[in-house]
Amino acid sequence: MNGPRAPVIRAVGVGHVFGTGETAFTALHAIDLDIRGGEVLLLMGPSGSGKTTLLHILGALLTPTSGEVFLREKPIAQLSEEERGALRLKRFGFIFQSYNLFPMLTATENVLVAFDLARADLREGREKARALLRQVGLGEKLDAFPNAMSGGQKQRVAIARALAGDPEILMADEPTAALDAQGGLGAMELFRRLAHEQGRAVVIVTHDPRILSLADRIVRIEDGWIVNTPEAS
Amino acid sequence: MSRDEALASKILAARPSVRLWRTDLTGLIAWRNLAHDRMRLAVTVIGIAFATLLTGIQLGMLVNFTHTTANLVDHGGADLWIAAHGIKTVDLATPLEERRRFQALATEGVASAEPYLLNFGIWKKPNGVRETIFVVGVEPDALMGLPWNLVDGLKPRDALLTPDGVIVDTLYAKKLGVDRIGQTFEINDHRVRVVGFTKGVRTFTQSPYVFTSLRKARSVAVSLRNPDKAITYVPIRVAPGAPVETVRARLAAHMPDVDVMTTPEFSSRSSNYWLFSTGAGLTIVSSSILALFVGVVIAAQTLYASTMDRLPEYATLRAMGGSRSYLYRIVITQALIGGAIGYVFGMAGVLTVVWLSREASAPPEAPLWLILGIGGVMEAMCVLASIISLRKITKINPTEVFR
Repeated sequence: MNGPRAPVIRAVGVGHVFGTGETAFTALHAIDLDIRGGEVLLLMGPSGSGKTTLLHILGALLTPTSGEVFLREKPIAQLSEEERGALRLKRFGFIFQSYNLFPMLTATENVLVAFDLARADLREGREKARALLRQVGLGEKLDAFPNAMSGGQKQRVAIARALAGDPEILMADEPTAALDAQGGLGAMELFRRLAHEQGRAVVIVTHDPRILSLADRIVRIEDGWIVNTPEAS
Repeated sequence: MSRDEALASKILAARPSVRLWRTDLTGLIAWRNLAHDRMRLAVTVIGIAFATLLTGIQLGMLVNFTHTTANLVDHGGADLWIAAHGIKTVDLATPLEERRRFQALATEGVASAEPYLLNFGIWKKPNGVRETIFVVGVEPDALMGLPWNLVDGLKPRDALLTPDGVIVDTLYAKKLGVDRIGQTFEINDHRVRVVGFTKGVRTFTQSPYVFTSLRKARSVAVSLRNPDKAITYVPIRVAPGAPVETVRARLAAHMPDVDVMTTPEFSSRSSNYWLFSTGAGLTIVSSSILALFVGVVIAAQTLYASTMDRLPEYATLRAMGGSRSYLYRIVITQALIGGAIGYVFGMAGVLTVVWLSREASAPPEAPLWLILGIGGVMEAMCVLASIISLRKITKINPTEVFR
C-alpha cells in the first residue's frame, strides 16, 4: 500500500463562520486541502486557530458555511445530519483526547459497541473486537475495565474502537496529550503502521512537538488560514 | 507478524454479517449504566418500589371496596333486582311492598321472584355489649340471596329452617363475640342461635351481615312499620332463554314507581355510591395518582442525572455515527430495567401486605389483572420519566466530544 495515492478527502474553499451579525466569528477562511490515504497528517496551530473546526468539517461532523468537502470525489458538505452519521460510521474512525470509553464496559465491549452501531452480528463482532485489541497490543486486557488501564492502554482501546468499521480515515484529537513521552511515541508508531501498512489516512490535531518527526505532512493553521504544508522529514 | 497479529488479520479479513433483526448492546449498556452507580440505582428502585407499594395497596383497597360494597348483589344469584325507587346502595335498603313480588311473577319471562329483607339490627353479646349488624332474611327454600362460602355448621336450608337460627361470618365472629356453633345472642331483644359460619362475606360498612330466615328477620325488624310483610328487595331469575334486558324493560314498564336493575347495574350503583358520593373512591384514586407521580419524579430525576453523567459517552456514540434511536433505546431500556426492579420489590411488598391482611375485614386485594396492570403502568411511567433525558440526548452535538 505504498506510492502516490488519490486524495481520500478534498477540501475546496472551505470556510466556517460561527454566529451571525455583530457576534459572527470566522473560524476558517477558504481552506484548500487534500488528504491522501497512507499518510499521517498533523494539523497544528495555536489554540483558537481553527484546526479543530477543520477536523470537524473534514470528519463530516460539521457543515461548512462555504466551500465543499469531497470524499472520494463525492460532495458531503450538504448531507443531512443522519446521512453524515451513516457516513462517519462507514468511512471514519475517531479517537478523542480523553478517550471517551464507557467506564462500565470492558475493553472488548467498548470496541464491540462500534460493531453494534453498524448492526454487525454481535458474535462475529466480539471476535473481531478481540482481534483488534490484540492487533493494538492489548491481548492481555480484553476483559479489563477502563479504570484498570493506563492512559496508553485506554488510548489503544479507543484506537481499536475507531478501527472497528475498517475506516479509510482515522481522525484523532490530541491523541498524545495525556500520554507520557514513551506512550505518545508508541501511539504515533501505531498510527504510522495503520497509515503505511494499511493505507489509511490519519489526520491528527496536536500541539505536541514530540511527534512532529513521525508525521508525513504537517499543516499549520493560524487565524483560520493555512500558513504552510511542509512534508515532514 | 506475531501469532496474535496473524490471528487478528484472519478474523478481520472475514466479511461482517449484517442482519435485519438482531439483539444489540443497548440492553447491556443500560444495565451497566444502572449497576455502575449503585446508590443511584438504589434510589431509583426505592422510588419505584414505593410508588408500586402505595399504588398497589390503594388500588387493592379500591378493588376490595368495589367487591364488598356490592357483595350481597354479586353473590345473590339473581338476574334482576327490584328495589324501592331511588335506592342508592344495597346496604341502605328501604321497604318495598310485598305485592311487587307477585307483580313480578306475573310478568312474562320471570321464572322466579323471591322476598328478600335487609335491615339494620342491634346484636347484643352476653356481656351486654351491642354491635350494629345487617340482618339478611331469605326464605329457606330460596334460590337467590342465600349465604355463600359456608365453612361450618348446618347447610343453608337447614340453618334457615332452624328456629332462631342465624349464620355469621368468621371474619366478624370476634366482633360479635361468637366462639362456636350453638351460642345464643339477641338481635333487637329477640333470641337467636348461631347455626353456621361463612367465611369471607365481608361488608363495607363494618356492620356484619347476619343471615337468617325471612320469618326471623321480620320478627326482629321492629323498626319497620309493617314487619310481617316487610321486604326490601325482590331478586328475580328470568326464564331460560329469556333476554334479561327485555324482561327488565317489561318489569319497569309494569312497575314504573320502583327501580328494576340488572345485577351488574345494581352492583355498580352500590359501589359508586360509596366510592364516589362519599369521596372514599376519590381519596383512594387521588392518593394512587400521587404515589405514581412521586415514583415518576424520583425515576425521572435519577435517570436524568445518570444521562447527564454519560453525555460524553453518548456524544461519542453520535460522533462515531450512532443514530439517535440507538441512544434512545439505551435510556428507555435503562428506565424499563429500573422500573422492573422497583416494581418487583414493590409488588412483593403489596403481596405481603395482602397475605398478612387476608383475615382483616377490609383487606386490599391483588387480582392478576391488577398485578399486571400496575406493572404496565409503572413501566409506562418510567418511560415517561425518561422524556427529559431523551430531550437532552436529542440536543447532543457530536462535536462536543472534541472539546
